[in-house]
Amino acid sequence: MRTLLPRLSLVVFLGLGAGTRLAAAEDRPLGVVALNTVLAEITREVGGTEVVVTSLVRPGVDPHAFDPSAKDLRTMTDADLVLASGLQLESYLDRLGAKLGPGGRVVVIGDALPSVLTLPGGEKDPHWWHSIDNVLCAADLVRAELTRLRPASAKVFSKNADTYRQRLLALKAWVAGEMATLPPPLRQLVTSHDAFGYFARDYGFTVHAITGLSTDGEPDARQLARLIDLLRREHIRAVFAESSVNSSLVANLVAETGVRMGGTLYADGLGPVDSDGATYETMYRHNVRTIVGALR
Amino acid sequence: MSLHDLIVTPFSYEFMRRGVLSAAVLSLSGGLLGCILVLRRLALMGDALSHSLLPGIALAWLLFGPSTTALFVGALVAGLLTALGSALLSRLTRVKEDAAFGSLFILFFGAGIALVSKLPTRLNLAHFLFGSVLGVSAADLRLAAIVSGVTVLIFLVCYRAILLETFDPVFHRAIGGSGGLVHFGFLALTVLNLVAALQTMGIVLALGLFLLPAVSAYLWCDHFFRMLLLSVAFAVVSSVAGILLSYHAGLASGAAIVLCLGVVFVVSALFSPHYGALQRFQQYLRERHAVHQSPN
Repeated sequence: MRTLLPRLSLVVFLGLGAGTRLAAAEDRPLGVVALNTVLAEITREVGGTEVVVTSLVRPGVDPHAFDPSAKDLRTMTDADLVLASGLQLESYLDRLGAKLGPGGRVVVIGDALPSVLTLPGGEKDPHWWHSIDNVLCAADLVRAELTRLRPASAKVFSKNADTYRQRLLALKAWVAGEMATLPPPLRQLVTSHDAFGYFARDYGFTVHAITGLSTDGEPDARQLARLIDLLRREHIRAVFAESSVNSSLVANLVAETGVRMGGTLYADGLGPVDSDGATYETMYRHNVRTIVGALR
Repeated sequence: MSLHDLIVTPFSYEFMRRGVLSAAVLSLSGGLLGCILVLRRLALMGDALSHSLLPGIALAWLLFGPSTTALFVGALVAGLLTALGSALLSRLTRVKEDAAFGSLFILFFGAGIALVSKLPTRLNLAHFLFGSVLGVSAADLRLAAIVSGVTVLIFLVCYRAILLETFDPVFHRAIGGSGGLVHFGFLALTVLNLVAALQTMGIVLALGLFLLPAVSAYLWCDHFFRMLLLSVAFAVVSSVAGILLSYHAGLASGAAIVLCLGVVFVVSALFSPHYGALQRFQQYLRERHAVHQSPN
């Protein structure tokens, strides 16, 4: 047994090596690495059993602060496809391309989306998945990429993408119904960092964030004072914390103005498996319910 | 803009009052420690110690989750181990204390980063460790007050021993004082204050408050007690000026206070009547003039 095992594993190893060389053999699932939890879900839904998806940024981890390890780089090099969010969400992306070499294929979904929010300073908002339309579009982009890698499975990808599309459209209709119950003057969203720009654009909210697009910025006293004045003047009913940002500043807003803590939103991606933000749909429903419930 | 708008209105906000109060409270104990650090040539130790806290925090998080008490104790233990380890290394081996500190802190910091990459964190850990002076809660302020009070009390009780150990350690030991005990007690107090300050105010501000006022005061006086008073005064005035700067100019709050402390330091270094650069330069010119005038 002792002598047999190494030999056996050697055979298996050689077999696998030969498999990869044969231009992504048809019986082997495609290996896809996603750098964003939402992209991982989209790929799983569209790819089905034809694809094995690895999500490098674990759910709940702040993607602005994620830094890939050597093991992560190896996983990416071995993958058939690497999907990135882009728009500066992965600050390490520029260095990544060089490290992966010519073999690694990185597709940046954010660059291919048709309607990207640009801030007055020229900076692009990387939190694209807070617009359901963008996710519909991303699903189609992923379908096209997978089809290009494995044309034989085009029909399967197409069918899966269609099912997912129907679910997203149902979600969109549900959100529209919820939003109808919230009068436009009440649509004011006060959060830790500026992650809900797309959500605000789709549903007519005004966003007031303590810090900017990234979670890195240190807040200043002027911004905090303005928010407090705004909360008092406009009688905004609630402020919201985020699942991956320290909430001490939001807690201070609550203590000072007496507004309600509306709840915790999923701002930078999906939540852990056992949470109510584990899938895109539950995450979106959680955010909408929390926001509408607290502001109404 | 009237004087009222400039100075009074900003402090009508609770978060501004709390921020300045926490900075003032910690500048009291921080100033005391800072003066000794400067006099004993341990000025860079604070920087090193703040890095060494990371593995304690990460480990506490891994074992007990993100409870503030657990993180505080974890950071404290890691800091104390670094301080104790360096003190022991410098006494038991050939290595001098600065080299021991330098080696241990980078070892601890490395271990901390390795641990953090294994954590299932939901927060950007840096944010938790490095708070913001605008996010100070009532509990944070209480903790800062207790730590500062304990530090000042210990200083009052052991004033003589600390002075002797700082200015004439050989004499202190000759009259039967325990140099090692005083030294380690002092390091332990520094760690305690640093941990409290990091959690409430963030790393930039904590280190700035400990060191800059003390160095500035060192440039103005020869008497230890006056140096203490002056350093606390510098710290309080700069804190008020800095948070007002953050309020009016929209600068990051911790950095704004450090900038004000820095102005005090640079002005002191240039214009101090006894030890400033300008005075030294004038003296040099006078001496040269005197040499040229002399008959030989």
